[in-house]
Amino acid sequence: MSTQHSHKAAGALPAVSAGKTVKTLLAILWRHDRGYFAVLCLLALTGAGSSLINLLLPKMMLDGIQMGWDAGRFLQAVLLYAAAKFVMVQANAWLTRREKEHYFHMESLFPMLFAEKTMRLPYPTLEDPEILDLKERALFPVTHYGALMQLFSSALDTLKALLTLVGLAALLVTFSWWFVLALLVLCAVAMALSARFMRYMQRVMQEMIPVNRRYGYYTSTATKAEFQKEMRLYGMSELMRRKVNGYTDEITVWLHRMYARRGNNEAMQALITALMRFMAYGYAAVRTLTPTWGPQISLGDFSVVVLATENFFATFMQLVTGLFSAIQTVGYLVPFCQYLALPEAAQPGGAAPEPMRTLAFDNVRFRYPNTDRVILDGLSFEIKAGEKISIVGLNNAGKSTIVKLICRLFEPDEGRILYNGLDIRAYDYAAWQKQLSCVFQDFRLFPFSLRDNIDTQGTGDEQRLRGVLNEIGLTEAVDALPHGLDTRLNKSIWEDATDFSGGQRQKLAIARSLFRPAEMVILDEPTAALDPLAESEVYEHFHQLTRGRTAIFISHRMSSSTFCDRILLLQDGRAAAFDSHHNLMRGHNLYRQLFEAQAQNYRAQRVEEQSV
Amino acid sequence: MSQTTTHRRNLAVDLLDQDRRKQHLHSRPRTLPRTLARMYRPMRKNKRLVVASILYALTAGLLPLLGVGVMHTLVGLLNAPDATPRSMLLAAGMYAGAFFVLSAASALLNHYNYTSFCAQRIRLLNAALDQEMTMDYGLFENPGFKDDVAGWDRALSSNDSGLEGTYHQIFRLGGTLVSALLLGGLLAFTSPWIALIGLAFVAITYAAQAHVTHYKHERREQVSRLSRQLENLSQEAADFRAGKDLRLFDMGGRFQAAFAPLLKANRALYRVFTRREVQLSVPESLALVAIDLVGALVLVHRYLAGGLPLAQLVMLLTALSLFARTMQEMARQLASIKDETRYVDDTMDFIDADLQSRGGEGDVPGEGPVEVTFEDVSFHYPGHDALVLQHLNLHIPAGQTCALVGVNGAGKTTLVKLLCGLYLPTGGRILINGVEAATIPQERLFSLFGVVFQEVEPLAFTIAENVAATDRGIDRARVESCLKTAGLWDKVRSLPKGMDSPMLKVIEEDGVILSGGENQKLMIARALYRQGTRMMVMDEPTAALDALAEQRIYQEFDSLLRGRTALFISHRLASTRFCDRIVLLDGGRVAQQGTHEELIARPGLYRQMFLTQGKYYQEAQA
Repeated sequence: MSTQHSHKAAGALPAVSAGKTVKTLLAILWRHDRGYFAVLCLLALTGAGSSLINLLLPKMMLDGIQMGWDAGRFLQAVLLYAAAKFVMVQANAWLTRREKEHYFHMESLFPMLFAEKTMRLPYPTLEDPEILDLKERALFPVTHYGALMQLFSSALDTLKALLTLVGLAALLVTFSWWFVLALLVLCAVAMALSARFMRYMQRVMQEMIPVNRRYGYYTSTATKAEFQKEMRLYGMSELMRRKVNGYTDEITVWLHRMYARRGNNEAMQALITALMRFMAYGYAAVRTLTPTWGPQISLGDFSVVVLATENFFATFMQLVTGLFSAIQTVGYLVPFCQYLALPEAAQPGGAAPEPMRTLAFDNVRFRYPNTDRVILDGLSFEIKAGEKISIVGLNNAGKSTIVKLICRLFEPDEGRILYNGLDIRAYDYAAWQKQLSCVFQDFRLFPFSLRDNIDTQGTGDEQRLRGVLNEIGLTEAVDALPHGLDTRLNKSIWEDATDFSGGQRQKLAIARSLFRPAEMVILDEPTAALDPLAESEVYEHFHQLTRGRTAIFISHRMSSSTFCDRILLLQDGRAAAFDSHHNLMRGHNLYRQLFEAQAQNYRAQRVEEQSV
Repeated sequence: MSQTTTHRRNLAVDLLDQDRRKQHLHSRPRTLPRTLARMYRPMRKNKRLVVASILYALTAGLLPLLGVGVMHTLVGLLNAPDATPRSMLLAAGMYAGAFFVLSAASALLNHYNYTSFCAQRIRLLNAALDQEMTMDYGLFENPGFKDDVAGWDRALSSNDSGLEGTYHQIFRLGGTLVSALLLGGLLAFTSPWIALIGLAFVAITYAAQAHVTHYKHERREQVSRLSRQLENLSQEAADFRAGKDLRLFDMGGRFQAAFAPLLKANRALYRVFTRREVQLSVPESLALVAIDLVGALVLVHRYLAGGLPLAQLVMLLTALSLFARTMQEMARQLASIKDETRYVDDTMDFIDADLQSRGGEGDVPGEGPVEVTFEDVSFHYPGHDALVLQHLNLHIPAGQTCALVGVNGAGKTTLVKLLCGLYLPTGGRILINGVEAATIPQERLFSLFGVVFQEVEPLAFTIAENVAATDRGIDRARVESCLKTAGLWDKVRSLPKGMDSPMLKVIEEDGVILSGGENQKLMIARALYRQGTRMMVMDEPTAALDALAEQRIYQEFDSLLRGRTALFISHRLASTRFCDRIVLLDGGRVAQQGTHEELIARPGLYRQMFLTQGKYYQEAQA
């Protein structure tokens, strides 16, 4: 067995008890679908009623015989019974369907609630592998076991069983206290057996989590679209099959052991059930025959005692199973509720940012939480309003980290970032982000219309929208779409959507950032997927596109830094230089080295070209 | 079909027509007996299971009859003059003993055989995964096909429904049938009406349920589309990698707005289903009550007429209530079997469908670099008219390194997919060493190319397994040398478990996560590892690298290729200078080709692109 994942060590995760889990789920249900509660309660009532009413028929018939009813009296009684049963059964059928309707609604609602929660988490949480893991553990039981729905249905079963038991107990107690007590003792023994088995099941399930997780990974990977090319070209289906089969064997052996044990358990339960039946039939028959164990009872009561006892025991076992299943399911759902209990992003208020004069990093030190590598180690620099700067450095030098810090997605460990001389944390969080506009290196577009993807604030300024499309060179591609700007992205969600090519998506991301009326534009590798002509267009229009706003440009294509006012050379987490291209090229430094590495290929050409 | 038999078939195109696709996917007529025959075929030889099923039916089926019997005995004793409490208890005890034996036996039979069915489900799940991983890649581009086979997993993902649920249900149905037969027979002996009404109830319930489930099954595409939309939308919204843009551009409200109509549609859809079910539940309830009603009246009538002793009346009343319950159970089981087998059919059809790319007898014997020729090749995606490639001609001699450049959307990636055989051309031919590629079996064709795509992700195997693309007979020395060539060995060596380090955190907590550039190197190593790789194809291999790392790759290009033919796509035109030849794609055709020097010497798109990209470096020089 592989090692259990030990998540206990993580102090960051909120502790959530089983009780809290139930409370959280009930609260969600209460908030989003109160009708569901009503339906569940009524359904428990009619469910209990439809099973109790069955006791009436034999009792009525046998009592009628002893009382010497005539045919008309019988007909009347049977018709009355039939009418009552019809109402009960039909009500139960109607409620069952209504319950299903609510159930499917909740089932589709929960993933959305989960997504909404995710959107409210503070950003650093999303880069925490511990939280990513929690997310997977939270969703797995919901998507793979249908745990939430399992919980509702076992709660319903429990409630129904409880009501039926109360009815039956009330009935049986009228015959004998002692009998009910003896029955309860048997029930207790049966429950102890069940509990033992459930504990065993829980242990097995716990042990199977990592195995199931692997199996889940392999099966879902095998069907993922993005792996299908490689799977075929490299004949990797063999490997996947062997991995899957290895776990299949492991799981089958395990399941077999579990079900064999379950069979043994049920055989033992059968012994107790047989005892109960002996008790029921024996007791009722003796009570009917003689007054030894209490006042003699009618033949109708004989059948009532027998049926009610059988029913009581069976219902009690349903209660136990429902309860244990609910407890087990609550256990599965603890990570889900832990996730929902994660602290949400505080959006601190503060001053509204005035027009920009300067942005400065003052001795900023930063390390990603729970990691050792110091990314920024005393970084200081200052940008003035309207300046265009480029940040240059090797892979993993911390360029993108600077962007995240400016966006206040992370906060510096030490040092400050100053805007017009004031710590950026002093400004209103939402307002601060509103005046920034970024194209992140790993930018994302959203499954909405192109219009909504560009005009994210919904200004509805059609003219400006068209203008931006034009500048970025997307007009033609957009007009070619059947619904133009109203075409949605993401074909996997909307049939009539477009998926756009990598280059077009990048242009769209640039358009989105330019459309936003921001003080500062930050472009992180915005041309990686663009062809040379499109790239050059972005460069050429850079000043126009950023319209005199402050701009930060990050790119591995060194040519991009030539049109920036200054270049921040990032090395060892510090500003190794912050100067113009011209000045940097005169010294010996990493910048020049990087620039030359690319430039020589083009420059050599220049000579050849001139000689032609 | 106009193609000769030596060509491999093109399913993506052949199955474009909806009727043909349905015919190909669902060639078997859908009747319950056929489905059952298909379901039980793999288990026919399992004698143990057959015997267990029969024994279960007998033991479970007899149980209710025991109850009827004991009622008869006890009531008979109650009316007998010599009855004592002792004889009563004795009768009850004997009954309890028999009950224990039968119910314990049926419980053991049920659970000891439970996993046989579970194992069969997993076997079919694996077969379906296999189908998904090996079916003709072109089918993924066939828009109707995806919807047709979507949801094959519905019948395979649970113990209690779909295939496995049906197996269990049928196993238990055996017991129900025996009970129904015995109880019904007993009651029919008194009055055939009771048994007939019981049957009528089952028939009504079954027909009503079958109607509803048929109605639902007909709308399964709507159901699965809605649930897919909801699922994908919530995944997009909950994707951590979208977190930055989502926050900065404040997209939460838009997601909520997108959810609302989907949730509403989902609710409305289920409401329609519910309405039908509720309407049809009325005759069901009536028939159920009618069993009690008719049964009770007939029995009382007989008793009052003097033809029925009291003990028998009590026995028959007990039988009646058990019969009603049994019929209810049977109707439920039959309806669920009918319902679930519809989905089982869909799944079985998917598994059995002939979806592999088959055919072709051609081969490219020998070793060493291959020569590639595109002859008048055209291509459009199935179901779309726009030609991505138009009458394209291209020749890459053996051992040549060729760069493929062009503006965004010129068709570069499509060309690569055609070259390595993932798609077949819709016009013209591709020749490999003079052999038409469409005549070469697909797997053989795949084995010639080492392809490194953009945006690659490793799988959660060890590094060595990722490189070797297998877990058996890994040539560790070769893995090492390929990692060295790809420039990843230093990194791998620094890991505590070296090349045996597990990758990703999904399975092992200490799994390795590589950066984008490192992943690309890993994929290069994988392409190099394979012995048969005779041509390397790389899509933007340096996109994620800084200038120095990029340069290092260029410099090591020759040692990386070792004389293999190579094709690579790049937007960084400087890199093309390391290639023997440059092919410029524009509008789906080869617009220009030649050496860098030739192309730069004459006006054209290449020169324009090169100078455009180079100009920033030139100006900076001055």
